Amino acid sequence: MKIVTSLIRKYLNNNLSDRQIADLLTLKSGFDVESIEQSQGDTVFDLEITPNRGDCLSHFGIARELSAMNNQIIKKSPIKLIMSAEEASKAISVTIIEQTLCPRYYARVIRNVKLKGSPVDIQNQLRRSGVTPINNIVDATNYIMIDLGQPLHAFDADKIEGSIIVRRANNRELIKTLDGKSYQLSDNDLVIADNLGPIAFAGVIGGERASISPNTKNIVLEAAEFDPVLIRRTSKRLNISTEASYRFERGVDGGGIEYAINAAAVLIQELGGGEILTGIVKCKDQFQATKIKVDYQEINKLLGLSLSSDEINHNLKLLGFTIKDKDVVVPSWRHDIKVNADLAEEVGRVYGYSKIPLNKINKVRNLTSSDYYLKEYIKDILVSAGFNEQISYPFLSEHEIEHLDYDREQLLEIKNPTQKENKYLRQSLVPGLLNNLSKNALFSRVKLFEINPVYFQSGEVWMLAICQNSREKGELKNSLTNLFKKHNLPTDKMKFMTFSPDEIKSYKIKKPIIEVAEIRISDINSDSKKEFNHQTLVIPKIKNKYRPVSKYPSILRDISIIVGKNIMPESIIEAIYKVSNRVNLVELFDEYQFTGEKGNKKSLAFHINFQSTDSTLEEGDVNPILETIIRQLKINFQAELRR
Amino acid sequence: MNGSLNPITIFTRMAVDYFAEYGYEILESPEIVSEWLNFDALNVPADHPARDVQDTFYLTDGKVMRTHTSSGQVPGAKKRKLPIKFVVPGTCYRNEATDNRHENTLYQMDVVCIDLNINLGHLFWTLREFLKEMFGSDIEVRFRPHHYSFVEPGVDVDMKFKNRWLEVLGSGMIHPTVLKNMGQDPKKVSGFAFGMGIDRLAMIKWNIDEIRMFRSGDLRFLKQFK
Repeated sequence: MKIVTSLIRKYLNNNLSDRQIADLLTLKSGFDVESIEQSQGDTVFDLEITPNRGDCLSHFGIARELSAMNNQIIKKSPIKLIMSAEEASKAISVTIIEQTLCPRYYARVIRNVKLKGSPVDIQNQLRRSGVTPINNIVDATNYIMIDLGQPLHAFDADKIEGSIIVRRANNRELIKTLDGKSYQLSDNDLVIADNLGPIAFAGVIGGERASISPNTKNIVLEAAEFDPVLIRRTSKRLNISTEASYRFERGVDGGGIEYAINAAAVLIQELGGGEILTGIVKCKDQFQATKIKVDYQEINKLLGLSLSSDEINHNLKLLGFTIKDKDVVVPSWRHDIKVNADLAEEVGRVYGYSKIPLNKINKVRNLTSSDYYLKEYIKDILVSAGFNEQISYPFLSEHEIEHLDYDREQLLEIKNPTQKENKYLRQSLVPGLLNNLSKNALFSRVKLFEINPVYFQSGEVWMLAICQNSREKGELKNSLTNLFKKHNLPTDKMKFMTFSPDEIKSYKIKKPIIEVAEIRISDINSDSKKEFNHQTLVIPKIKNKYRPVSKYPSILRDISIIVGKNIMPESIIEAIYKVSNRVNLVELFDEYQFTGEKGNKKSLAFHINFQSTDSTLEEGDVNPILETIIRQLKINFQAELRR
Repeated sequence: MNGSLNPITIFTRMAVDYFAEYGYEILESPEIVSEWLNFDALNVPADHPARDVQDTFYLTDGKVMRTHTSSGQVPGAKKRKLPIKFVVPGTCYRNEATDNRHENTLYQMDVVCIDLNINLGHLFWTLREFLKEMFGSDIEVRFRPHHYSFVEPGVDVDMKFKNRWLEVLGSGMIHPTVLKNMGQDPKKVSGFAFGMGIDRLAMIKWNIDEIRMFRSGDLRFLKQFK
C-alpha cells in the first residue's frame, strides 16, 4: 500500500523525519517498507500491511500507529457541516435484509453538485497513492478512503428507483458494472439494490445504471460495513479486487463511519458545491465492543518482562484500548484482537522488541534415535564410494508413467497442477535419477543417489535409489553389496536393474550401460544393532568457494600431471581455480603412485570444467586458459604434463 | 575419490546438530496432510486472506501437500511430555511459478520449544545464537513484529551478513489456540516456534544465486560441495 507523507504529517503533532517514520513502521509496527520514492517534494512509502491490520489501510490509520509508537495519542479534528433545511430521510430510505451481512449502512444526500475535474493537488496525492483521478465526486470518495480507510460509494440519486435495499442477489439477476462488464449474480453475492434491481456489488464495485455521470446533479453517498467473508468470496468468484473490497475483506472501523461520511460530504461540497441535506440515514445493529479480561502476569510471562499494570495499561491506551474494571475494551478499528496473547503483542510492540532482554537456554544431551540419523549415515557411506547426492521434484507426468511399473490404483493425483508434467506424484525415485543422468552428458562417469519419500494411496514410503553408468553389467550390484556389507547393512531387499539406452529411449542417455538400484529405507536394518543418533552425525566442511553454474554449455577437459609424491591434490585444485573465473569445477579423478625409480613421484588426473556466464565458450577460448594453467602448475609445483 | 552431499543436506545437518546440543529431538512428519493440520490446527481459518498468501497443491482426495513443515507441530507436540523440544526438517510445496528465487519444492525446518516458563527472551536468544553458529559470530540480528496466524506475539528476524540486512526467519510465541490443539493448557505452559527456509539460508551462506540448482542434479553444481 502506498502512503504519502504529506497526508500523514497533518495528523502528527511532532516532527518525525522520513527516516524516523520508516524505522517506526518497520521496527515497531511490523510493516515492511518495500520502497521509498520522492515525488514532487513529497515522499511515497510502499508498505506491506499484514492481513490482520485492516486498521492501517489508510493515512489516518498509519498516523495513529506512528503516534502510539511515539508515545502520543492521535486526535481527529471535529467536522463542521453546514446542512440545508431539507431532511435526508425524506429523500431516501434504506432497508437491510440480514443485518449480519451488513452491520452498518449510512447514507447522506447532497443536491445540486457540479461535476468537474478535481484540483491539481488532490489529483497528485491520489496518483501518488496509486489511485487514478476521475472527477471531483469520485475523487472525493477515494480521497476519504485513502485518508480515513472507509470506502465510500456515490450514486446518482435521480437514477435510484424507490428505496435502497441491501440484500443477497438471486441467480436470475444480472448487473452491468462501472467498467462495462456484465455479470450473472448468485445468492452468495451481496448487492445494493433499488426497486428495479441491483445497482452495485456491495463493497466491491458499483453498477453502471445509477453511477455518477457528467449530468449528475444529486448524489446519494454510501458509507457502510459489510461482512468480510462474503466480500472476499464475491471478489474471488468474479476475479475483481478493488481498493474498496480489499479494505472490507480486512475489516473497516464500524465506529468511524459517521466521521468518514461527514468528512466526505464536506469535501464533495468543497470540490463541487451543492447542499448537504440534514441528517444521516442510518441502518445499524447494536455495536458490541470486544472485551478481554486482562491477565497482566501472563503478558509479562510471554514477553519476559516485569512491567507494572500501569505501564501495561499505558501502552494499550496509546493504541486506543480503554480499561474498564478488569477488562480491556478493544477499539472498533481492531478486528484482530481476541485473546490476552494479542494484548501481549500490542504491549510488546509499543515497548519495543529491541529492548527485550535475551534469555539463555542451557545445553542438554539428547541421544534419542531417529530415522533421520540412519538416513544421514547411509548418505555418508554412498558419498565415500564416490556418489553425488541429488534431491528432486515429487512430480510425475503421464508420459513417465508409461516406462516403469505403476500401480494406477495407488497413484496420487494433483487437482491443481501448475503444468501437466506435474499431474501425479512419484512412486519411485528412479525416473528422477535417470533424467539427471541424461542431463550430465558432459561427465564420462555419473554416479547419483537420492533418499526421499515416494507416494502411495496407503501412505509415504522413504526410499534410497542409486544410479550410474557402468563399465560392465552388474558393476553397481557388486559395488553396493560390498559397500553395504562392510557397514553391516543388508542389501537382500535391494532391487537392481540394468538398461541399454534403447530400452529407456525417452531418457536420451548416450552411455552404453545404465544401472539402477532401489530399496525401502525400512528394509535397511542394521545387523550390528548400531544406534543412530546425534553422535553418529558428521558435519562436513566445504573447502572451496561456490562458483555459479552458467546456463550456457560448458567444456570439460582433462589434464594429467606428474608431481612430487608429497604434493596435495587440494593445493593443485586451488591453484587451478585461481587461474580464471571461467574455471567452474576442478575434480580429481585419478591418482597413481609410481614405484621403483620414479617412486618419489605420482600422477594426478583432473577434470576441469570451463564455462562463461554470458556466452557459450569455444575450444579457442579454452586453450589459452589451459596453457596458463599448465604453466602455473609448472612454476609452482614443478609439475610435468603427462601425455 | 569422494562424492558429495547436496548442500541442502549439509546445511540441514549443521542446523540439526546445533539444536541437538540443546536437547531437541528430530521429528519427521508426513508431506501429505489434511487441510486441517496444514491450516486450521495452526489457527489459519478458512476464508481468511492469510490463506491466500500460501498457494497450495491439493490432491484429488482432498488432502494437501504441506506448504510448511509447521504442519508437524501439532502432532509432534501431542505425543510428547514437557519439556517439549523438537525440530521438523522436511520438504514442503508451493503452487507457484518458479524462477531463480522461487521454487515449488522447498526444504524447511520448524523448531518448537514448549515448557513452563518460555518467553520471548528465550526465543530471541535461541535465534541469535543459532544464526551466529550458522553464519559466523560477527553477524547482527534484529527482531521486528510481524503477523503469522500461528504465533502471538509474532516476530520477523533480520540478519546483517556481509554488510547487508536480510530477512531470514519467521517466529513467535505459539498461539494459545495452537497450544490447546497440542493438548496443552496455555495458562500453564508457553512455547516458541519458528520456521526456516533452508534453500534460502543455504543460498545466503554459499552465495548461490539460483534456487533451482539444488534440485537440478547438475554435477557441475553438486560436485562443488565436497
